[in-house]
Amino acid sequence: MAPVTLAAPAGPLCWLHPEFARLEERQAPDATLDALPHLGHELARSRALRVVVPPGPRGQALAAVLRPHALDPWASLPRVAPEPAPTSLEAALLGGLAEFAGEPFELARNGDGYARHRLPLTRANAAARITACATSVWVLPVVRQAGAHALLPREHASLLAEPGPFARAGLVPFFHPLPRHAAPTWFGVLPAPDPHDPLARSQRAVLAALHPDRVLECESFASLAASGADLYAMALASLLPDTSTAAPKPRAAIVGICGIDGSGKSSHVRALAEALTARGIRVRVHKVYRHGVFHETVTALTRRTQDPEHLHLWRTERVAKAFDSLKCFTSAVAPDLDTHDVLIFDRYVQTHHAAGAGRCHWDPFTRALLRPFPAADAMFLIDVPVETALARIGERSQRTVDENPYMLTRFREMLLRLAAGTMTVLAGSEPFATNHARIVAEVERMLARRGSP
Amino acid sequence: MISVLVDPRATPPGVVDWFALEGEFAVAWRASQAARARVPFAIVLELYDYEFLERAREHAARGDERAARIPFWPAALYVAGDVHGDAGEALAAERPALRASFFVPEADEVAAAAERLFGVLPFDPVAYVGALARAAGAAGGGVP
Repeated sequence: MAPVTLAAPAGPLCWLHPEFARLEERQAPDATLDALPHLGHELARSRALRVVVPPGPRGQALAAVLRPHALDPWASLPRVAPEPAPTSLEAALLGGLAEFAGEPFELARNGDGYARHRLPLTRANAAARITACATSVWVLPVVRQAGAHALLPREHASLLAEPGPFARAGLVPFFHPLPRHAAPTWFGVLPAPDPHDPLARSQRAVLAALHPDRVLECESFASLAASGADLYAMALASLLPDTSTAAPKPRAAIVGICGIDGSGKSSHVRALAEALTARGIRVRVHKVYRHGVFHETVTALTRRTQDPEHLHLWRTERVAKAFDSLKCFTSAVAPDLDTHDVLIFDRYVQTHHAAGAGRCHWDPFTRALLRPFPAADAMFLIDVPVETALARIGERSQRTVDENPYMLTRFREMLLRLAAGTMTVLAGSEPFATNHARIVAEVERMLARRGSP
Repeated sequence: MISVLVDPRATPPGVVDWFALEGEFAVAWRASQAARARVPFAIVLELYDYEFLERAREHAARGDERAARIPFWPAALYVAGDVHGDAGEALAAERPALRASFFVPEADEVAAAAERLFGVLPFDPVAYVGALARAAGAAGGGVP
């Protein structure tokens, strides 16, 4: 079987700066994107299939998203060298950075590779560049020196004072190096991460001066990258077949009660359990958000995110929490699915979905990890204003890391979005007895539809 | 100080197995197979590393003096899995003091152990053996 050779599609550098996309454009730029869905199926069927990807960050990401689909992941897709191919855009930019010691340079296609020459920041060069924009890119390396917190070189300061001629000449900033924990596919697009760092502010000012329309996109990328997201990999993965299967429907009815911390959900869980038990229904209450050594460990990890360079640990924290709930489900909950009539969950998977998206602004794989959880038969959201929840939390002895106005507001927003069409939303301001009666009535209707006791 | 044996083979008598196939971690991974293709291998390895951390902290908190076994050394996994931007450094920093000794296996032993534990092969077993040998050499903790 002949190996399949893939080119790596354009990445964030080209998404942010179309000038680079035009420079990199090949005859069939979308061939890889078109091939991925079918390739995913083929990898799952054939151990003999070999896939060749280019070296460098994009090739590594492409191989990484394909491997989970492969019967023989490391035979079909061997490890990929991290250094980009000499003819790649990344190599050309890094080469220019080294060759011209951080000075601006012009980059143009030259056959399969690139040619470059020094082009200082002068108005005369900017004027001459107006007609050359379509076939080359004027690159401004914006480099963070190790340990340096000074402002940009003097020439950058003069650019900031009067950016117009350089913006019209299509000058494009290229940030280097990557922040320490950012995925390598963010090559060239991320300024220094700490917004309080004067160097980071001046780097952002360069982009705002030259391409103000790209600032929001750049900040979005920076935010995603800081939280551990590899958007390039995620975009490729979305094109691959989804072979996930839903969890089988268990004998027990699943009821979940969600809400932000301090919303009163645990009280409703207890009251519902008592009401159903009194009717002779076999009920078990479960919490899949555990305490003890798990909670202490993940909290210790979470404390490190106080450092702006460790925000990527939010992803680890969310993934660890989701997986712990899965461990709890398989060890403690699953045995009850066939021996009870109703399982009531004090928080269910929606809490993970909301917390992940609320914290990271993307789903850190919680939906995939939590697939074994069966769909709930009835879900309730006890909604309270953040101020009310904080007042109630204040009455407890200890607060968790997320029990603050910002995170609780994000968490509440995400829960309300998830609730649309899938959960019964109850105002926590209503009397407890009112909400309790609504919950019991809805659960009884659900049980009657199921033909359960 | 906790003694940890890094060995993908069977657990010796008297040694605690932190990744037993009937334990919570392995059972949960088997249950997640339906969505396996949607979880990057890098996440699989990070969760393994996190589990190592949690078991080590639990062991230390209980004052358990028995040695423990783990099948894979996290730092070698990240190398063999082509993982970048991972949480390995932070997770290692949170570990209690421990002394690791290493058995450097054959690649097919590694692959078999990974398939048993994860149900997939989330790293290159040949690259893992190389990275493990370097880690063992650096730590001076090889096991004959």
